[in-house]
Amino acid sequence: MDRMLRDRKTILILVLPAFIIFLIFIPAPAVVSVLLSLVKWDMIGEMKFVGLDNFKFLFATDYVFWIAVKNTLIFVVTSAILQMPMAFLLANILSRGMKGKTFFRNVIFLPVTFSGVAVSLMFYFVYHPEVGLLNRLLALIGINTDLSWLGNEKTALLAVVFTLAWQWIGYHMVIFMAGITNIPVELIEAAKIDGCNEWKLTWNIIFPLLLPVIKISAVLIVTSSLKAFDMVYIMTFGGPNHASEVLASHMYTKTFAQMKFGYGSAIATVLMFLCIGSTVLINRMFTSKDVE
Amino acid sequence: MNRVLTGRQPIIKIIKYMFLCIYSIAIIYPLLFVLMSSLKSNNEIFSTPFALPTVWNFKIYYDVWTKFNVQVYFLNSVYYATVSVAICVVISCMAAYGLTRMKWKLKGATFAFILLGLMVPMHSEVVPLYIGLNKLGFRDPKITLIGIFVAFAIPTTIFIVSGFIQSLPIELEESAVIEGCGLIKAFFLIIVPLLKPVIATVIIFNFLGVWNDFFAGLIFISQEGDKTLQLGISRFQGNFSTRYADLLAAIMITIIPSIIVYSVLQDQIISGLTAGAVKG
Repeated sequence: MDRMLRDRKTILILVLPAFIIFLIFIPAPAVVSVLLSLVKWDMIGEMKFVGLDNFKFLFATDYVFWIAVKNTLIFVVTSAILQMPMAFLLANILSRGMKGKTFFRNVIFLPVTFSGVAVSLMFYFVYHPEVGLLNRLLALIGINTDLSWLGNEKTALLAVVFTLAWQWIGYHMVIFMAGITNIPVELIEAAKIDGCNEWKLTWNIIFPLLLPVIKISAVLIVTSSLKAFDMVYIMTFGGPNHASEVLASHMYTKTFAQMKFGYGSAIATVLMFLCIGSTVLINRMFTSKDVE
Repeated sequence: MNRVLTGRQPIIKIIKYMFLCIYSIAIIYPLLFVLMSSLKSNNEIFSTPFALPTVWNFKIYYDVWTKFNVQVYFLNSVYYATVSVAICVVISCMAAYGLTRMKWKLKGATFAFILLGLMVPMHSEVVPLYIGLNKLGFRDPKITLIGIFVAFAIPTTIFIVSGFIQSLPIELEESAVIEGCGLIKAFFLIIVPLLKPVIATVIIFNFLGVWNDFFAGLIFISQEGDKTLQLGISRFQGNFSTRYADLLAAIMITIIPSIIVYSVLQDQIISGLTAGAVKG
């Protein structure tokens, strides 16, 4: 048996197909992408090696890049603020033996199964200045406005962030619920016998024990917000006047609309390092807290 | 003390239920509003937004489905999702077995390397792949797209499946091997049937991932006949102001299959979609 488990041929047959496809489509292009960020090329003319010029231009001259960086950070932070506390609150309520728990959980999770495109188009309609649900509801309570939520520089970005939260809160709620279920019942019972009230139980017992799950949730929110593209592209196309431009949409415009493949790769490279960096950083942050 | 608690408890409970109800309405009401509006005329959408349609124009669904290629988009999406999920699940299960049961030197490193792929955003892949395929003269985007979908599903799938394989006792294969069965044969005949629940999970997880993709399709598909459902309906927004109902019906057509499948398989879908996260 042991000899069979060490058989080279068997190992290759099992692992190689997946490994080759993975290699061709993920690590290899990622490396090439970093290399491409050092050239200037429109795919028709000569490819020109320019060293770090793309990055110099990106950091020093491209003002849209900095708007995109700022907006991406706002996107990340507001997404986390909107989604995590709400998901925690909902999970905490639903995990205390409520009647109708399954029903509420299923309803709140429902939008997670939808595509980003469908949700974006739906909210494009909801935010529409004339026929949109939001302005119509505001009119019902006496606020008459024809504000175009997606067409206004002040509201466009937050309108997108809100849509993302509407779709994804249910996902993080379910992750938190799984985490709460894993807490031993005896622990909660013991705390109750010791005279722990709901509030203390939530903050002193459940919250600290949930930190590993909260970490996963934080990584997912941060990386998916960094990569956010579908909703921005469909709802605002980065506008008006770059007010909702994020890194991914800026990269798309530069690369595929303006055919600057080297420059676009430079933006993609920045994005990749932000994703990897933030994952590592969040993991570090939570590990040091675990030690306490 | 006890009386104080029981006296306060119902109020807290009512507040909790009210909160859950309001939140649920915030999820369901926009869906109903889109559904109702999709059956109305432009005039009605404008003048009586909250009323039910006077004439229920179900024909709009038939029109959108046939006249605007939505049928083609829908079938394309079914094709992309089915093929890439099938390929991904087969090769990932094999690899997961090789990465958990088999004994070789670089096993741990290979596994870590594949998991590292989870951190790479698709944005870093598209430019090199786009250029590479153009230079190679690839005009058919189907192979590229399926390759991308499969590759991006591999790390999570291997991760979930190998966790499951680890929980199976090795005696299962041992007895088969003693009876003269080859290891690969033992894998397909003995292990794979036991993997059914986890395979169901990864099928749901990956199918939805491919079905809901927009970015890869946007970049690699140029022909109308190759478009995915998500890519196809995204252009409806362009003539929204002239015909509201077209867009709304197209939205519902993309959402309704999700709702139907979800109402049958809620538990599997919820655990399937969160499996990767919760096990991490």
